[in-house]
Amino acid sequence: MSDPLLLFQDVKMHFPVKRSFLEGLVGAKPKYVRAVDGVSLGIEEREVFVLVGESGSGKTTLGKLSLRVYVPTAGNILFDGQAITGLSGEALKKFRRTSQMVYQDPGAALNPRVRIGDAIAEPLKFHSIGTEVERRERAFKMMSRVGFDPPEEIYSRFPHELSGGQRQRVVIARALILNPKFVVADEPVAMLDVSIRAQILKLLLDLKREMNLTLLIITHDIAIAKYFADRIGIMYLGKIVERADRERIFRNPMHPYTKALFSSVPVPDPEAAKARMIIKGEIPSAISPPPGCTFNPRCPFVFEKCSVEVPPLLEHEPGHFVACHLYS
Amino acid sequence: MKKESDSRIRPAINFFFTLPKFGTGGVMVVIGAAIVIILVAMTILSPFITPHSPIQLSVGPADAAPSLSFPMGTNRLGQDIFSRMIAGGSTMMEVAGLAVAICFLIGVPLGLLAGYSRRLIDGPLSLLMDSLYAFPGLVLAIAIAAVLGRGVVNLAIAIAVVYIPTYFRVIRSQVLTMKEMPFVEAVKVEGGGTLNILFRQIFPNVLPSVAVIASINVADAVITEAGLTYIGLGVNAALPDWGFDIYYGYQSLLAGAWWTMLFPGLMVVLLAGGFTFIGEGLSEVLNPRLRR
Amino acid sequence: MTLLKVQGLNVSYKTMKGELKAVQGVDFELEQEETLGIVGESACGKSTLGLALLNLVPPPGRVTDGRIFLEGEDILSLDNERLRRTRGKVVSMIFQDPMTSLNPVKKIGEHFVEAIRAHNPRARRGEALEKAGKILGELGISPDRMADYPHQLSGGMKQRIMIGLSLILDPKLLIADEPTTSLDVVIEAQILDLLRQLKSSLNLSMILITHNLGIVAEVADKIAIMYGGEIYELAETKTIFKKPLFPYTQLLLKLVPNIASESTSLEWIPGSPPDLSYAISGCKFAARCPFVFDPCRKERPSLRDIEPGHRAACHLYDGGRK
Repeated sequence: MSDPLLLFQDVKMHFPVKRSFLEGLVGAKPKYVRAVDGVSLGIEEREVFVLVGESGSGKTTLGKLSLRVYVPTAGNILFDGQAITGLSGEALKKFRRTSQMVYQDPGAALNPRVRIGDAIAEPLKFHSIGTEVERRERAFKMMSRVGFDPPEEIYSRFPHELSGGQRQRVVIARALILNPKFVVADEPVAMLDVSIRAQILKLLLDLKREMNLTLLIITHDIAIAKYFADRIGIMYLGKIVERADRERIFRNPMHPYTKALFSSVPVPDPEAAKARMIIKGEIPSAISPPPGCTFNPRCPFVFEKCSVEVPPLLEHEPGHFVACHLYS
Repeated sequence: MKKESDSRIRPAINFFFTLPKFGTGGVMVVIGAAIVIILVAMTILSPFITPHSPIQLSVGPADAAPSLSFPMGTNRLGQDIFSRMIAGGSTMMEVAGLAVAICFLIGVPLGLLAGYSRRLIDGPLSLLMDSLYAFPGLVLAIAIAAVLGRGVVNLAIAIAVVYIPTYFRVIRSQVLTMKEMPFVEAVKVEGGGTLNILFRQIFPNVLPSVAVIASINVADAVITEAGLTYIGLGVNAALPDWGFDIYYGYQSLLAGAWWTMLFPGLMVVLLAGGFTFIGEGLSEVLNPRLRR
Repeated sequence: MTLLKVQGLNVSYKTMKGELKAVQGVDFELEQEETLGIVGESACGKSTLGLALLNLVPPPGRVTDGRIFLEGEDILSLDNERLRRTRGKVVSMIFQDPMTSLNPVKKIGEHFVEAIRAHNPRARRGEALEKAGKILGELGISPDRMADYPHQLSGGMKQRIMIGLSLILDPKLLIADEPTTSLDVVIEAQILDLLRQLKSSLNLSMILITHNLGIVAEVADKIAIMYGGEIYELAETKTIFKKPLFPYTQLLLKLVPNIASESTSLEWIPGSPPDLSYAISGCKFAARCPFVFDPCRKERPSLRDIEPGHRAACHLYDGGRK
């Protein structure tokens, strides 16, 4: 078994909370938002890993950490065997060619004053690849690949002239023009109409196969995980609480949060049994997470150990990892 | 295919004609632009179109009421007011234009810098700008003009200093919002540098508000220049100048010669108003409220 | 008496491109204690329809035709004062984004007092707060939350407060426009459960506007499918899911992911929802419909009873074609 393409080793990302003047005066202890609080994860080459979590789970932060948008406060991140946490200058720029991102809101991810073609060719410009003519040619090719036919028509338009679905194709084209190895897609279809979501997701998958990409899809939509993942990770309040390949996790969700998540999704069938695991409360603040297992205040199966000790992520079936005291 | 070699003028002219389609905002811009263009053209062509020399004394009787030979009357020195109105805008326009240019060249980059940098740079800059902003505009302009002395450049500097903080603030706050936007982060992930982000990504998006501020700025500069001239801190009194005429016309006014003050006053209002119309109209056109 | 009867409703927006017909020829009824789900994608007119029911369409939009009979009275013909009294007291509405619907500088309790006083200026503070506390209790929120400011509450709580505010005056009809779209799925389940409870405990009629067929499957008694500003199918929930007639409905059901099912592929509909700023002749779905034939592009199909209690607007069912 080869080494994973992307490896997180006990990664933590704590964002400092700005102190008010008075707090600074009395020397109050600084507070941190523990967006990512100890994640160890390996993403294999050419797999589609779907990271599922709700808002406040830290999934987006983890995605951005893998692209060196942030530098982790603790832990290591290795890409293709090389630590990316300490990179700077030319080395960092070189790394950027390998890993790119597809954003959630295509309206906000494109500069409203830059023409489509220029936006797609931009990354090539940053890395001084080719002449202007060559760059334009490559942009055309990429645009055809994502479904713009003929590409010339769209090249000189501005983002506001395109529909949501078209804009998202542009975002994808821009992310892939450098021929990266690794692509993070943060809620790639959440802002698109339901009737075209599958189309864009299929496009991503097709491109992944054609270009031998490794995909990390970040989403709160469990259906996407069900239809597109090789492996799935469930994230809650900065930690991964369950991780397994798709079949196993849907056949046998083990963590109580995973069970609640799966049962919460509205099922488009009026006759479906409405027996649902409703968990009370809301996701707690990431500034002062509960002690022990962070899910314990809401867990229907909580017992004493849960509020005292943090459960480790352990393998309970081959390839199926869970962090829950119920299983230790 | 993008035609790189297309002239920029044609689209610009077409732009003006399509503006009324943008509703009341567009109409305001067109009206304002028309007023400004007419006044500027008039000033530029003044050596050729003034019926009498604007600076020559005693072309007519002193403080004569408007008549056929002197449509706007004469002032105390017997100068033809009509000719002085045609020619009197040049100083004002030079000063206002220069002031806006200085504001733009200093206020915009500083705003970009402060918005994008961390507290170490942003803090002192903002503090400086807020302090300047706290001064009542006219008072500050007077103080600086008094120190620097007369002259078009000095006057322009005095006005610019008063207005730079406004540019700074507006741009800084826009940069603060914009730098968090996904498209800026996307550039970072693609490998783009800070300079590209500031000038290629953020600046073009900030430009519309700059245009709006600039228009209002010019209007304000025009009035400030008139005011400064009125109190004697203006440019060389030998050249025809609306502001100066308002000052000088005061004495004639007491004698009942209202035309000596009215017409220069009207000219100032017209020029300032024209620019204000452009600014307010632009602001409405660019306001996303129009879109669904 | 039918609680709500909408007849021939047309709402248009004046835009730079011309007249945009956001809602065209909409007819439907709603009985007491019934829940209607209006399902459609973006720009299909469902939100505009919701606002029109309270005569709240913002300019440059306006109702150009039609009637909305609420308890027998046409609310479009009411003067401002009577309209104001109807809103909140008879019909109420909650919106998608609870974050921006609450006043950030007012405590939660204040919001309730204001709402009550808007209809009864002499209401006493103490009584108002007591009533608020009671309703919050039914919504699962402890009454001490009334002393909090909006920013101290989470999204799910804010949405529950919004529901409380809209129910405080005991309206007969609640219109909810994408009430759970901005919430996480676990909280969404809580809110849906809550809405279901309120349905029975308060004898509330509801109109649920959403793009999510999963939600309406759980909460709605009947469903209206909206596309391009028009209603193309209207029937009981069970019927829509079992025997959808309109092709768009059929495709929509196929592409809604059902994690309880065994299938592992997702479908989509080629093309995209129509841009209503350009007039479209014939059926709005013709451009994307797999069963399109001649009359579809020429004539607008009318919404008629194809089977008892099941209405659809589609030429496929015109006189023996299918």
